[in-house]
Amino acid sequence: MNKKKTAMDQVLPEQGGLNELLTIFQKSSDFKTNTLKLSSQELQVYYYSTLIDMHRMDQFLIKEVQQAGETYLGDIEDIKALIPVDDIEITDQLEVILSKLLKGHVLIRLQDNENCALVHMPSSSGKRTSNDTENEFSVVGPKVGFIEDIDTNIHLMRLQLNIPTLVVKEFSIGSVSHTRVAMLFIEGVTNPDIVERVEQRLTEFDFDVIFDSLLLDQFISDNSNTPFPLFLSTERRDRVVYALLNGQVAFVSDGSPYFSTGPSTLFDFFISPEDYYLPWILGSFFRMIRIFGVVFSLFASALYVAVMTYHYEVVPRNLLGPLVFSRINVPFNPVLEALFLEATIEFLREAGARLPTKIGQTLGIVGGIIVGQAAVEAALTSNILIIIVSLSALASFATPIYRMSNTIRFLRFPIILLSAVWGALGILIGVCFLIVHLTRLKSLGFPYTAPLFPFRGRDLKDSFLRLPYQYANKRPGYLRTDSTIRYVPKAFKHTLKEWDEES
Amino acid sequence: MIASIKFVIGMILCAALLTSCGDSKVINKIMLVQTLGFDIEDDEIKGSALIGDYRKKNEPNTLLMYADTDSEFSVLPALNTKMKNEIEYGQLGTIVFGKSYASRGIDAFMEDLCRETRISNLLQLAVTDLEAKELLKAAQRLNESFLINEMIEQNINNGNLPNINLHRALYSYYSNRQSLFLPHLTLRDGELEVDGLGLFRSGKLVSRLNLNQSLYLKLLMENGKNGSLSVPNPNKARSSKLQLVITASKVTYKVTGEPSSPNIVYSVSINTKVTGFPDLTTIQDRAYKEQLEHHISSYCEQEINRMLAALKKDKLDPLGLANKIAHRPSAPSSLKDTEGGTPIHASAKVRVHIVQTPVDSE
Repeated sequence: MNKKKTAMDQVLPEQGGLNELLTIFQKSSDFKTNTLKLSSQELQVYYYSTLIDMHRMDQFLIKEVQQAGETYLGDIEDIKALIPVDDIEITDQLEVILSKLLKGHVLIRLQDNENCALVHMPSSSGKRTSNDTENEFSVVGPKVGFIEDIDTNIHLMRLQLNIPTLVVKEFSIGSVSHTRVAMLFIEGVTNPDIVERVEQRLTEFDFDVIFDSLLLDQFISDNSNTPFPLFLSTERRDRVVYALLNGQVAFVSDGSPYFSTGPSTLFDFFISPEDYYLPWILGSFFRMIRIFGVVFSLFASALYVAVMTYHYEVVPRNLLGPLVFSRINVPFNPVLEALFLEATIEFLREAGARLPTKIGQTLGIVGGIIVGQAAVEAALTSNILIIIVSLSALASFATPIYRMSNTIRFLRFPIILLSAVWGALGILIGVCFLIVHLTRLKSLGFPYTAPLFPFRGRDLKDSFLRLPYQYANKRPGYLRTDSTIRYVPKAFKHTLKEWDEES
Repeated sequence: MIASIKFVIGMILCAALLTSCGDSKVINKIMLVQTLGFDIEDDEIKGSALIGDYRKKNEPNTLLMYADTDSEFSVLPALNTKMKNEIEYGQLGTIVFGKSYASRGIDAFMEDLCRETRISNLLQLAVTDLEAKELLKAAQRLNESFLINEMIEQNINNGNLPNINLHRALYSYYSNRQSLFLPHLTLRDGELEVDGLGLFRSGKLVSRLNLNQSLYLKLLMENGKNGSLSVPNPNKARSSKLQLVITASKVTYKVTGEPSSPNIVYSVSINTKVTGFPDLTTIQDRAYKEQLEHHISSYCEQEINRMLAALKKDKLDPLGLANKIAHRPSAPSSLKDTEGGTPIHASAKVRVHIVQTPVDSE
């Protein structure tokens, strides 16, 4: 089969074997070669000094070999008895040697033998120690987040999902990076079709470097031509645990603090973990506020443009004066005015996101107050629109998932343009396009708008509202999980009666 | 992917071609007519318009403009010739018909109004026994372009006027059997005042109800919770009038009599507060309270029946009595063909219940 060569294939020598490969490695200054002497033998040691833990190598390899004295190694396999390290692999496969050397293994070779040992001694430097959540902050509930190390992340997951049925499947993806990617699911809960689909999609695509789980999202998503995220990406452990318990699959790549979970629905993006830590009434209320915020954020500026340009007759009489006066000196059409302010907010957000926190705060004040005030004074915009645009920007940030709030901010612009062309009719056209697009979206083959379309009444228990735990004990039906019941709630006790009996 | 982009672009282009861009009316580039008045003099229409002017912050200003034309529909174009910005009427709150105009007939205008999409049902139509422009002048003096509309709304919500708006007026106008009625305004000592209802027959102003009669009409038309009424005081030693403030009222009706000569009997139940009653200890006497309730009930019943008889005599039917009968299967066929005020006999029984008497009534 005439298969195209990957970057790794190009490195592998066609002839010459291991020596040829080592010659290629030796072009790098951080690739070290060392010779350790046993009584009558010489051990060749090769490694990337930047990839391995030198302290461990000194202690468990060099020191042990030096103390071995008269030991004679008949075969490289015997080195397992000499070095007190568990992860030692004996191989003569060039692909394996190439891959492992680049993953923090030390290559040990007995004289010029092709068969060699690979000892795992990776360096953990460069990894952050704090695993607090940075972007998905919550006031109540745990603040445990993930870091850029896949092993630590899986360790964190195992701590909370303390069951043997939590299955972790690992793949190596990326023709250059050979990034470790782990897929997690709970056997007996997750629909095997979903697991198979994710596994198939993860292993089938070809890409050179996997920087983050969010890249994987895009490669395996059902539709890449949509602004909506089809996988929920989170840095919070409780979110991933909740997704797995509900029968979803999670995957993460090494070097990414973000897990992606799927199949996701639109509602998943408006759920905050806090909803589950607060009483159901409060949780439901704040969830509704968030959903209202999204609607407000999408349509507020567009409605302003439509009303000011076409539908002046719907303005309440008491608002006529302030609205007309606020625009009396503005030379632009409402649409230009709105786009100017929306763009200003986006500039501020982009600049704020790239600046250090303290400077970002100052920028917010300078941008928000001074520029806003000056824009009104200079009659570039009306003060009422500033309030509307600021509120809609604020409402978009109420969405717990950053990627979804980006989507909402993006969608504001086409809706504003539609409202400028056709007024309220334009907004309606925008809404129709959105609804049609959303209902056609699928995440891993499952409908994105479930449980509204297709309608699944039982799954509404955790959608707009978060019903009490005694009622929401089943997994979402649309995921077709192997096991539908998450837990069996105890029969409700009437505490007042007990009190009466005692007294 | 490319096919779907082409499809979306195609759809947008088709929509743009079919609908074109809307006709934009940017809110600060137009002048909003908020009250319109129509008078007639020597076959010439005298239009007057109150226009809101919002150029100064916290200082509402009202422009009063006049236009003399040969047709109602030329008033706005004529006003446009005098303005810097285009005149728009989507925020029109009230149209006032002067006596001369209303007596000649408002047909032409009503025909046009029912097809006007920019005007909302918040629009109020009103009639006056003076010239409409006099009322608009009075409103302009107070710098309130919506004053007349707000007065009418306030009297509907808290006073004696029955619920009416543009849609109800159009319904009455186009109903052959029901008489159109509109709020009636006048000037007293230079101040605007709502003083009852103007009654129309075939689009022409023919009669008028005072505020008390407006309340009776309201009591017969709807279940209400407002309105006030003066009733003669049976205790002649005290003040001559009792003031009733209605807190709730409920109305039902039944049709009695032969199908050929139907009779509508209204039952009105009124809960009322009595103010102006001087002797608190007396009214707390149950027997006296019942006696007083009987007195008020009889008075109201008498007045309502008198009003109904007068309306019947004038062949006016603001209550839509004929409609109520005509829709019944047993209605006489002659009634179905009849147009205008049909002499249907109607009467009312009133039961008043005094629910509260202010302590400080002395």
